[in-house]
Amino acid sequence: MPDGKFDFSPEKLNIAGSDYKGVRTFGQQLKHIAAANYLIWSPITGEKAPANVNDGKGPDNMTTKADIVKYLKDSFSFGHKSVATLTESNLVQPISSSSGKPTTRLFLATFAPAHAFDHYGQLVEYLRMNGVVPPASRGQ
Amino acid sequence: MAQSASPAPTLKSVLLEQLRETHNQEQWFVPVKVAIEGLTVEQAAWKDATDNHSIAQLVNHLIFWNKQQLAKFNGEKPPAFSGDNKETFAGVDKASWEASVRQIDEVLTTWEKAIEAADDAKLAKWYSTIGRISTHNAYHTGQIIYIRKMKGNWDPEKGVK
Repeated sequence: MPDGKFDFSPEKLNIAGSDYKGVRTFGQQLKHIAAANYLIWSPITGEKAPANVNDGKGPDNMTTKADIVKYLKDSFSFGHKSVATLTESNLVQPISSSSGKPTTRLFLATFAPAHAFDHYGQLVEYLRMNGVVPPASRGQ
Repeated sequence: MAQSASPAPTLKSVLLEQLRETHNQEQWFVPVKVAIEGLTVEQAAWKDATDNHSIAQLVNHLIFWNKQQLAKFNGEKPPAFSGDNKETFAGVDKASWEASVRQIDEVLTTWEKAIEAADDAKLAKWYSTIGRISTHNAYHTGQIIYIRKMKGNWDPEKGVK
């Protein structure tokens, strides 16, 4: 997605009959994925999620592609670091999620990618609305 | 009477929990069964003038790959496949859309039963593929909701406001 389209939301297309009022922009989708990554993965090590997860929205004042992509990549690096601490003995040991629900490290480790992929599906629609075929779908 | 504690989580229970959350148990995101509820064949088959897929094509693609992997998991010969992924995005008519709605539910239910019946050695060999099945289901379900929102036929009370 070009830098100038990170504030794109399908709401801006004013498609007749659509119901896109208030949906996230492209950049907000990515910030949400990143913030959710931190929230989902932080209980694996017990480390506190950074304050800028902002209830899963990510930093409100972060708007550039460079900053958002870095925030997203950093969140995945955090996940890799967390997952590296998994052992046979702690994998399915009962722990609490960030919201206090009973869970396991294995669930948290693997749930974040599923959550990210759900949003990836939405992002794919945003890309295609802008004439961009996602790299993974090219040539298929 | 004292309640018995929940059984300890296992690889099997985690794989099942994740698969069910992409199938019919709503947690953080809308599962595929809910995502396609109430669609008419016309709504399911709608597509724009480009190569972008209709909801029906996405559902048929999910059915195809879930069936392919399930057959392999069960040691059976999977349905024939030329190797061209485009062919997995099949379109529908009224009868076949109803069949697709039924089949996506059936194949995921069958997957869940197969995982329930599998032993640890089998799951140790297949956990990666099963995990990818869940993320793949979630990916295309995210697309489906946004296509429905485009056409104004999605109830935001079901999620994704």
